[in-house]
This record gives sequence, C-alpha cells and structure tokens, in this order.
Amino acid sequence: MVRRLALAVLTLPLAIGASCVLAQETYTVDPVHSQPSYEIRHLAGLSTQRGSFLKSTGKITIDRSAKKGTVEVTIDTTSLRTHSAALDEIMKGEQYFNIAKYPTMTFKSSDLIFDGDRVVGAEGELTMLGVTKPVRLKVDNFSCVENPFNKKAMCGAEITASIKRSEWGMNTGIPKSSGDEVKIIIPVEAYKD
Amino acid sequence: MRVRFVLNAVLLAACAPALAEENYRVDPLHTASTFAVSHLGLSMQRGSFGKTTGTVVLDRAAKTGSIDVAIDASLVTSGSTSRETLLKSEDYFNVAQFPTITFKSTHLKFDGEAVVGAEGELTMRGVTRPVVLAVTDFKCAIHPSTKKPVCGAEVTANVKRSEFGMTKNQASTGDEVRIAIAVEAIQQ
Repeated sequence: MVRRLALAVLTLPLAIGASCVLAQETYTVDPVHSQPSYEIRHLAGLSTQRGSFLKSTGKITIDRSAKKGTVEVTIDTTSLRTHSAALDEIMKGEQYFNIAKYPTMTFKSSDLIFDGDRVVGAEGELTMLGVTKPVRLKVDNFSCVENPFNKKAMCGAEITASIKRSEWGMNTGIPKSSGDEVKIIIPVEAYKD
Repeated sequence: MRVRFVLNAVLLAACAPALAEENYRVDPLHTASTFAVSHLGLSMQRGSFGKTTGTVVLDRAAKTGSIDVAIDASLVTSGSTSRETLLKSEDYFNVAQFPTITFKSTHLKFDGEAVVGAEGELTMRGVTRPVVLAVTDFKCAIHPSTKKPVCGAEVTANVKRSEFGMTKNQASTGDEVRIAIAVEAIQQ
C-alpha cells in the first residue's frame, strides 16, 4: 500500500505533465490552403490592388483549456505574386519588399485571444524589411473539423490585420501613388500534428 | 475659309450629344480579376486571373453606358501549382478550349453620376449566363502622373459555378464563387 502510494506520488507529476502536454495541441499550417495576401488603395483610393504570397510555413499551438497559444509563421517574400508580372517585379524590388535582401518575413505571437474555446485574435510581432513591430491580428470563422477526405483533424480561419507600411520603412509611393495602410488577409488551414 | 468654318461649327454641333459619351480603356496593370470560394467550410480560397482588358463607355448625363471586358483565364493562379493545373483542366476553366472569360453589359446602374452596378452576361467555359455586378467606390480623378482622366471602382459579383457547368468537388469546395475585380480605366 505504501509502495503503491509512493508509486502514485511518483507518477503524479508525470500524469500532470502528460495532461498539460495533451491540452496543448500543435498544428502545422497547410501552405496550399493558407495563402497570405494584401490589399492596398491605389491613386488616392481609386482602386484596391492585391497581391499574395505562394509560399509560407508555420506552426500554431493551442491550449483551449488554458486559453493560450502561439503562432509562428514565415512567409517567403520571393513567392510574391500579383495579377501582373510587371507589377511583381516592382513589388519585389528594393522600393517595396526588397526580396534580394529580405527573402522572408515572419509573424510571431505568444498571445492568442480567445472567446470561449475559439481563437478570435492574436497579438504579436511582424518582422518585415528587417524591422519588427507589434501587430494585432483579427481571427474570424475559427473552426475545427475532421477533413472528410484524409480524416485528419484540422482547423481553419480567416485572419485579417491592418498595418501602416511606413512603420516598416516601406515608404515608396505614399501618398500620391498608393496608400500607407495595408490590409492583410490570410485564409488559414492547419493540420493537427 | 468661311465655308470650312461654318462646316466645322455644324459638325461640332452635330457631334455635341456624342461628347457626353466618355470612352475608357481598362488599365490591365491596375485591373485585377480575382475569385474566392469556400474550402471545407473552413477557409476562403482565393485566386486571380491573367490580364483583364476591355472598354467601358459612360454617358453620365443620360445615365447609360456599356462594359465589354475579357479576362485571360489561361493564366489563372491560386495557392499552389498543383491547384493551378487543376483549375486549368477540363473540369474547371478548361483553358485549352476556353482561354477567355468575357463580360458584356449595356445596362449600367447609376446613383447620381456614380456607377453602382451593371446587369450583363458572363461567358465562361462557353456558357453564357446573366450576372449582376455590384460596383462600389466608383470615382474619377486626373491621374497624377499621366494627367489623363481615370476612373476606378471595386466590382463584385456572386456566381454559382455549377451554372457554368463547373460541378466538380462540390463536397470540398463551395458552389458559390465570390468575384472581386479591382478596376482602373483611362479615358481615351
């Protein structure tokens, strides 16, 4: 009995440890269905110009009971695409994303915002053009399902944010050609590891 | 000399009503046709097409006008090269047979001088269906660099892809497709 109790006491921290690990779920971003995109107003608001990045990778951890989690996403800036190859070259150039010098940008957060057990936002830091600044993401339509085809557990959401590009030193064209405010839109799907 | 002057004056007078009609050419560099569709009910997947070209005619006084645009479907892009191959295939845009999507309208809707919508016909995969476009943020300005009059707007529409015979993968991908076109057009 004493021995059993001792065993229980010994294994208790392990059990607690195990339950902590179990509460935290890790997800890997599905790059095929998670394409970061941006929108910017052109010529003092005449039209909305869009672009997106073909390649991104990322990990998300979620602990729904503790209402905590982390996000770490890397976007390959060389994979930038708009509707026009000519515009792609302009956007990849020194005056905008400067991909030769800054081939990636990153977003990191260890401060997810929950409403119940749904993620509704994240506060973190965006590093772009070598400059790191705080950004708040809004997360809509967060839901988790089992993929009906591959039967894997997955979550999806629509992420949006608004930033001023001048804060990262991307000043070209403000305000005559294109706006300072950039809307970021990221549909995201992530599979549970 | 005087005869020619009079003749010119008469011609100008005769042409005056036509002056109310403004012709615009779509600027392909700043016009982008995109689409969004729900995937597994989890996320909105987006894509865009190649060059959008065409003309827009506006008569703001008469509140009439027309749109005639062509969208290059053969350069559809979306998320991954494997998906792009799929979208170009027979099951989706069938770009080998139908490289171009067209929209034509002779029925623009105005609110005052601003265009707010258009009813017309969308031809995709060889199928023509009526489509109603919503036009928001319509405004015109003098282009700061070229000094030419330019108009811009955001055009949106919802279509059911099945109506155009695009019926594959309804279990994973929504039938309703949201179209968003940022447009800038330069007066000719």
